[in-house]
Amino acid sequence: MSFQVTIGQYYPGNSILHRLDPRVKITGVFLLSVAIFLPRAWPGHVASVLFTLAMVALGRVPLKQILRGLRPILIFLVITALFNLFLTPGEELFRIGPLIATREGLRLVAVTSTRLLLLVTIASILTLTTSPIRLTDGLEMMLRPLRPIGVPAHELALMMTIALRFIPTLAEEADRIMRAQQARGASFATGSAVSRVRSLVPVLVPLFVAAFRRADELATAMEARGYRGGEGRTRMRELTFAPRDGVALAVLIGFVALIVGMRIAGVG
Amino acid sequence: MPITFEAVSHIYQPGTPFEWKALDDVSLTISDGEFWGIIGPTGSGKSTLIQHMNGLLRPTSGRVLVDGLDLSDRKTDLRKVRQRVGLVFQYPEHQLFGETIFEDVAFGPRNMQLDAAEVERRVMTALERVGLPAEMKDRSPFGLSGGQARRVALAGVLAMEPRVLILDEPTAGLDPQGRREILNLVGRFPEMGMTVVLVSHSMDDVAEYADRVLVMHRGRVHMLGTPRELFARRAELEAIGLGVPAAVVLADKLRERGWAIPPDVVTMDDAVAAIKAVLAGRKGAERL
Repeated sequence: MSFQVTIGQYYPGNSILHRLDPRVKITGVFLLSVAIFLPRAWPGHVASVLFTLAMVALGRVPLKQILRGLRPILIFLVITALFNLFLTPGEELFRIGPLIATREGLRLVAVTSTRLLLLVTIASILTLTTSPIRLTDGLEMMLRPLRPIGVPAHELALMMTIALRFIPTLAEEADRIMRAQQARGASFATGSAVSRVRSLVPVLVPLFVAAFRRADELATAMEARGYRGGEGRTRMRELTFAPRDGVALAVLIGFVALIVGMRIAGVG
Repeated sequence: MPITFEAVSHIYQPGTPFEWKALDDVSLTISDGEFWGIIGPTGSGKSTLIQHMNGLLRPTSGRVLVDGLDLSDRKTDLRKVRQRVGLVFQYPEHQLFGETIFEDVAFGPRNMQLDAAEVERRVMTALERVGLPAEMKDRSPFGLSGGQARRVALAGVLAMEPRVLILDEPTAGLDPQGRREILNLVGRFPEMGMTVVLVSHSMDDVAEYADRVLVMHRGRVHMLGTPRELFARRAELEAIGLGVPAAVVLADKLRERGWAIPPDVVTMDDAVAAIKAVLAGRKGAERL
């Protein structure tokens, strides 16, 4: 049994989206997340879909990677769709036993599903085109203005970096421990649900012990090299705001303005 | 129960950019009662090799037979095989999980569906074999010294009473005393009727205990023979970044200075005997 982990699902590349400043991309995700919930009529929704598809194309990430990111929300999507379809009052379309599907319900299903899929796709584009390090760097810079009100920007970013860094390490550790317990006759794939959960105890206990041991070693190693928090710390790669970042931001704001305008004008 | 490799190759992550051929056309037979030493540089395929011996890994091509059973065959009960071929991983104490030493060591025997009395007998025998006092059985396995924790982990595999015992670097990270204790223990396994496979970086350890030595290099069987045969080919070993035991180095240096050291000196005991013989010869010559 082997773990295959893709961390933060980053897909290395050199597209325009990959090269954008992470702060612009994070801002973009926020703006677009709001924008896709504004339209009230189909031209607005179509505009959202087209814009998102354009982003996917610009990021040059294989469609397969995007679809993989959508898979986990599929069940959620189907269940909400069923509820919406049958529980929205309105004009009857068809009925299954006591359940009545309505025209209004169908419309709601189309709208909510589209919005949800777009939301996840937009978030995926961010994590697919931004390496975890640049992502945390960007977040730290954006949170920095909030420090006076007690937001520990540097510490939060550091925690994220360390957590991401240790996912593959711990996955490897788990794999090693599972093999060792299998060598002592453990089996993880058979038996009832209860016995399967119980069979994880010999893996989880050593895994936690290992995690604490590694955390301790890491803290010591950092202190030994003079780490004392974010104060006055310089970085190897400075984030710089290039002309293309300005253009990207302008495009984003332009799109949001378009959506807002369409809604006010009553066409979207 | 002999272990036979027939042209075994193993490729990690085939068909991806990370493809890595860890074993390349390995054929060998480990017979009953033998003590094998496996040495090789890091990444030479030692760990991959031993994980094929109890079916934790399956060959990409070729066959592994344990007691005539093909481990790739779906009908082969791998749990039965693993009870008879015990595998002790590197840093085995990192896999301890039981609330007490007894519970941890009992994990293997319980997985074999043995009754409580038999489990207890096996646990106590295993603890005794690794030299841990019976009173310790109710203590937590966490917070033991490095050497003690490793012996508990070893007992956990011994309690399954395997016929073949494979140890991956059993002395890694231990202090000199812990090393000696573990090696003395490993040296006694053949008397307990076990076939032993010892993976090690230390030529000295392998020279002292093994009667057959396998040198792995880039996933292939680089050399295979008795320690004496192998360490006579010092230049070839050094060419792939491996050394020879300190006793062999010493013997070579003395020979350069004209001492009559016989060619089969491999362990420190051999060297001591050879030097004593030369010195005795000199004294005899002086008296004449």
